[in-house]
Amino acid sequence: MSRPASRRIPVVAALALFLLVFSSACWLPPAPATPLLPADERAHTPELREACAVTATKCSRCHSLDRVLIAGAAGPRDWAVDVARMRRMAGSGITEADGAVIVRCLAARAAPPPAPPTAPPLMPAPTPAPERATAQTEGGPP
Amino acid sequence: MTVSRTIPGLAVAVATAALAALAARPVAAEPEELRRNFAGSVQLDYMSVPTEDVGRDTSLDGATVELSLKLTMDYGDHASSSVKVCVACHGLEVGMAFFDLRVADELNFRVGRFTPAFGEFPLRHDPANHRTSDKPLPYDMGRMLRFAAWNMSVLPAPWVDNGLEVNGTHFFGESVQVDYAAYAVGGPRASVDAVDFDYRQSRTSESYYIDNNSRPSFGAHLAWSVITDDVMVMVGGSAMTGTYDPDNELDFFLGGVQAVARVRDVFLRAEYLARRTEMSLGPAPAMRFRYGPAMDGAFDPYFLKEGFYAELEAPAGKFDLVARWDGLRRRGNVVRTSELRSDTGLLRYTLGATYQVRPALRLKVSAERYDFSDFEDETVGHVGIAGPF
Repeated sequence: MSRPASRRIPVVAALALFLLVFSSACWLPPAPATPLLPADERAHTPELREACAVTATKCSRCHSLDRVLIAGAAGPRDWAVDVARMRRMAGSGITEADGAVIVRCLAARAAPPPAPPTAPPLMPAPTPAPERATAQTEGGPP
Repeated sequence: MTVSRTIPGLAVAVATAALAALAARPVAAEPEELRRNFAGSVQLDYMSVPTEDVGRDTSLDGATVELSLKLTMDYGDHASSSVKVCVACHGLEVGMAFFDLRVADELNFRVGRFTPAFGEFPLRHDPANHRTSDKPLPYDMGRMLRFAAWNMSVLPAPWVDNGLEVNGTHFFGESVQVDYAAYAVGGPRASVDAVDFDYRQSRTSESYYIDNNSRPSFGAHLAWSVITDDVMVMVGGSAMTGTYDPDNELDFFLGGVQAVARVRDVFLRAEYLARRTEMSLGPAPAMRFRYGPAMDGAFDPYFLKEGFYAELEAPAGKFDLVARWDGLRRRGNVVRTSELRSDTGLLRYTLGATYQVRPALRLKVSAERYDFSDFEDETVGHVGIAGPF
């Protein structure tokens, strides 16, 4: 199938576009975060960022990260089972050490957000009057 | 008994011995926990062919739904079973029904009905795992234009078959790994006197999931990967060979190479597939084929079908952008009723995007330009929504 030069232009353009966009990724600054990090940024420790980067790399080899975002695992134990299943998939590329790192990232998504730092009170908090507390509980006017 | 006929028996014997060894492993004192996992995906796609008055003449246009439901059962760390059913253009199909018996990372036995390891795309053929509504041309099943004239692609994905696969991964340090797979499956099918695979025979109720020639097809896959936090590079090769007619007279050889590079969240994927397939010349090839014999007076019984794709995927906020360039080429004689010439080609250019409506729900939009060597060029648009569950 010989093609005239004019018809080769789209082919060359397509190749050039691929190479341009892909090579540009090499010069981009590091991605700020993966979508796997917990919503609460206070939990974004360097270790967790690294764990979630590994998770994104390993999981996206076979499927989109969307599948991870909607997985129903409730905690570290459930995630460990799910990750072990993925690890056993042919060609998953997940070592046992990777598995532990991935579970650390995914379990953090299900963990409750860390408590906000609390400063010691400068003076004792006032005790609410019993009548006012009752009114608030019952939904009446303050 | 010929050597070729002893190979399947030998393979089964080796596999049986290995499985027996696995079964004889000491059982843990504590009973292993049985766990079930359910997953699935659904995609609704609307395909429009604005360059045709009636798109159905050349394609399966309009609205189509692809649904998959998968149940996995874990019997501890060394055994699991998976069952997956799919509903798509040709009804309800069993896409998986297999056991995995795992000795170590380097040795896993898969027995049952599965997609044998070939290439890179079949690993993510599920619509929720790739960003366009349709598949790259070398793996297209029925969404390409003129799919009937081309008899679909080189290896329609997912290629599902019954048999045995041995696979595994060896890790070299923390970043390098080698994956392998070798398998014996029923193989592609066709009737006596065929000139190409008849994909319907792999799924019709008349010969439902039964091998048509009592002899397996063999295949293997080997891939080498380097994976770091920011960069992943994989190169691999795959091959499959066997006979596809009931009399075991028509052979085929399918080979492929694939490469994937990931830099941060940007993927570049490329694959090339080629299938050399023997055609039955029949008692009167001059009456059957459109083109005459070669200079030596003999008809060439083979045709070569090649396919490639290169795909770039880049995230941009809630969007994922996709650019894909793919093509098919077929060289070899054709039957008199065929619409194709003896050397025919197709190039396709695709631009697409997905928008993340919800964390795992994506709106897919893409436009494709088909550049046929034997037909008028065409334009296709896709709008779809897909997500896993």
